[in-house]
Order: sequence, then C-alpha cells, then structure tokens
Amino acid sequence: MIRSLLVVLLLGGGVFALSQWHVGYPRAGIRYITSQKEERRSIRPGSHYYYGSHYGTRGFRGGK
Amino acid sequence: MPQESGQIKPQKCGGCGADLVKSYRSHYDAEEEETVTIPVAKCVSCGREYDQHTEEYYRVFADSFIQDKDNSAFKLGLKGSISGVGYEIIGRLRYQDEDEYERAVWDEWVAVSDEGSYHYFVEEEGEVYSYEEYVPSSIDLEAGPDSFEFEGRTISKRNAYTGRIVFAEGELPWRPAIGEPVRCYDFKKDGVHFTIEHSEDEVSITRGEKIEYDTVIGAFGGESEKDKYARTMGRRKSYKRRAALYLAASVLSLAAAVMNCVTGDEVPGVLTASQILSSNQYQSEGGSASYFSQVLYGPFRIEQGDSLYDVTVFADTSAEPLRLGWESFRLMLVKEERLARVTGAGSDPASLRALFSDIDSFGEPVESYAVTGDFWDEEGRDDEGYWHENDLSASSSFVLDEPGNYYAYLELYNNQPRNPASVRFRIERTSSYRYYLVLVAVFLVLMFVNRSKARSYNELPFMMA
Repeated sequence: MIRSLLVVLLLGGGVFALSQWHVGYPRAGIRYITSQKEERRSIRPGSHYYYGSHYGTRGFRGGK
Repeated sequence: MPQESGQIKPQKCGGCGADLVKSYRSHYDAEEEETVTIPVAKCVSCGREYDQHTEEYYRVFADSFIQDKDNSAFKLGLKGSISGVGYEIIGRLRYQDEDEYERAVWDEWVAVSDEGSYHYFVEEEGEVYSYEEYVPSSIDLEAGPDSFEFEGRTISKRNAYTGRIVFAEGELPWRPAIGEPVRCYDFKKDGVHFTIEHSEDEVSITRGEKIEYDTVIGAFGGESEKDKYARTMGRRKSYKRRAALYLAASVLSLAAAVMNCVTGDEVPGVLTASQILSSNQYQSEGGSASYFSQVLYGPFRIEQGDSLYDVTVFADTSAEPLRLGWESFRLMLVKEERLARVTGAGSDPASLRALFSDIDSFGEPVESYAVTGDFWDEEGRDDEGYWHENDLSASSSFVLDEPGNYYAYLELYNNQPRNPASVRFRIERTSSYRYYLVLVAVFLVLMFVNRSKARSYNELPFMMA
C-alpha cells in the first residue's frame, strides 16, 4: 500500500511539475526568436523557404 | 461402501457393439452463424456418432471432465460443523451442463448431518451453496408447458438446464450412472434458493443459501488451508485497497484536467484596435491564384509572462460565411517595442504593409510567435451519398516568455475575395491538462490490474470467487 501511495505521489508530482513548467509546449518570445534566427541562417536568401510558405498545413479534406 | 466411477471401461456402440472412440464433427451452427467443430463419441466399426445428448458420449469423455476433481474445499470423509450442526462428507457427484461443449461442471458434495439427514454442498465456479432436502406444501411439475407450480407460485421452465453425471464417488443415497441426465430447475423464492432435480426415477427438492468459503474452510479445512485462506484474503484486500487508491487518484487527475481545460483568462481587447493594411490583393503564383489580405490588431496588453497561452483563430461565419472554399492564415504576435524598432517613425499603413510583406526576410524575426492554419468547406458525393464538411477554426498553445504590449499581425490567403475582418481570434491564458489526461489513463490501468488481482489472487488449489 505504501508503495502504491508512493507511485501515486511520484506520478502526480511529476505531472504537476511538467504542467507547471510547461514542458513540451512551444516557446514564444526570446526562445522563439533565437531558434528562428538560427533557422534563417541556414536558409539561402531568395529561396522559397526564405520568404516563408503562407499556405498553412494544406490540411484540406480532399474527399472521403 | 465407497464406490468410484472414475475408472472407465471401453465403451461399446449401441448399434453394432464395437468400441467407441473420441472424435470430432463439424457442422454449420445456425445460432453461431458459422461452422463449428464439436467433440463426439464415434463407433470405430459402423461410424455411428454420439453427441453430448447421449449417455455414451459422457462415458467416453468422462476423463476430460474430472481432471481437476481433487481441487476442492471438500473431500470424502471430512467432518466439520456449521452453525452448530455437524456434517460428514460421504459422497460426491460431478455434473456437466449438457448444453455446453466446453467444460461446465459443478460438484454436489453429499453430507450426512448429526441429525441423520442428507445435506448437499454445491461447489460451482468458486462459490459454495449449502442445500438441505425440502418438502414443499404443493408442487405440480406439469402445470403448464413452460412452467410449473411450486407452493402456489408459477415458476418458468425457461431457465431449466440438463446436467449429466460425469463422476461419482463415496456412499450416495442412490446408485448413479455416468451420463445419466438430470433436469434442473434453479429459482429463488422469498430470498431462498431452491433446486429441483428431476431425473428418470425421482424428483429431488432442496433449498439452501450461499455460504462463504470462510465458513467452509473454518468447518472442514485443515490448518494449512486456513493459513492459505487467510493469506489469500489478506492479499485480495490489499489489492482492493490499491485499486481504490488508483481509482481515487484517477478521479483527482481527471478533475485537475477538466479544471485546467475549462478555466482560462481571456486577454482583453485583442480585437479592439485594428488596421486593414491590404484587402484581397490578387496574386498569382505557380499557376494558382489567391487573394491576399493583411490586418494588424493591437496593441493590447499581455500581463503574465512565463505562462501558457492558447490562441484560437476562427472564421466568423456571422460576418461572412465560408462556403465551398478555403482560407489560409498566418497570425504573428509582435511585441510593440520590436515593431517600433524596425518601423522607426514610419508606422503609417503603407510602411507597415511594406514591412509585413517582407517580414520573413529579416535575419532576426520581428515576431515573437507565429501560428499558421487553414479553414476549408467542402462537399461531394461518395459511395455513402452526399457529404458536406468543414473546418473553420485552428488553435495553438505556446508559452510566452515576457509580458508586454503586443500586436497581432494576421495575413490571409483565399481562393475567393473575402472580408478580412471575417477571421477573428482570441488569446487565453490557460493551464496545461494534457499530462493529467495521460495520468488518468495510467491510474486507470493500474486500477484495473489491481482489481483483477483482487479477484484472482489465490493460494488455495481450488477456485474462489
């Protein structure tokens, strides 16, 4: 029983920590800017990717 | 004098007298709607088959029904007392349900009490019932085609079943034959279990109640059985407590997930100020044409840094319906001071339009975050007929590092001209719930595992429900 209680506390605590620290979510602000800057350095100016693709995911249904 | 019917002699065919052997037969079963293979006894000479509705079948297959016959809480010769009445186990009959192809047996242990009357302990699927002989005030087994009368009550015959004796041992009140059929009627009246066993020669009526293994082992078990029973029940209780703990943890996790999912603070005023920088500019690229619009919203204040936000962009169909078309968007969150740094004094619509048109060409991004997506509305026909579907919203979660004043730059691409103000968005400060949902699943799995163990853990050699 004590072991089960420990499992509950550890898993619960772990999930609380993951949620409080927003682990796994994309970051906006300085970290976004830094990562985008690095990415843009590796893209050749003038290419299609340099100017971005504005058409989203193209996730249309396209029939059943 | 003890007798045992487990020793089976070679069985003979009723037609030609040759030996019977175990065999199988396949036939189409209308109820199962498939071809089934069932065991049959078969004559080696004339090929005659005997299925489970014949006595020959049970004589040939008797050994397959008695492999576990010693795994029981009872044994011949055991003595014990229950509720102050002493019993001695003197015999046992094992029955197989005739309607089942698989093994479906129960044991009827015959005991004689201090008072000199017969008593029956029925052991089936991990449960024990204690029965005594009963003489009803009235009974008519032929009262109706589907029912009989028992002490003024009509009892349905629909739940009747036929048991076939597959094993007998000890001193029994009568001499049973292997394969002998007994028609059984089990029913409850005034909270008491009754069983009527109707065989070729006689009708036996008994009444009784379920008794716990605690009582049975306390009366008939040795010290070893009592210890194993105590350990088994202790472990089962422990698994039950663990299952309850995991269930409670699962409910709490679900509550946390729901609470985090439904609670959120909307960032106020994100749509209050807006500038349409361009509207439905025709563009053609790689053979595909589109209409391009740009809108700048804000500035608005985002108060909390290092917080999780959820942005939802949606086509506002009340402003303009999206019918059989598509629309792509990109929404950028731009901090006011970063925008001011790149625009300098020129923040008129023309300068802003020029700036945002080239926003991807900056070596260092101006925006703090960007989200893209598509809306679509389609219809068509397929083998199931007409369909019409759409997807008119998209959302994204992100963690914003710094509070401050922000603009939201929205650019839109359409396959047809559309009002740029028909796409709206909202930003909410929210809490993460995804990990709590994972936790709910983990705790539920642990709960089911422990619940299953609480039912199945057993140190005793016989089944206990």
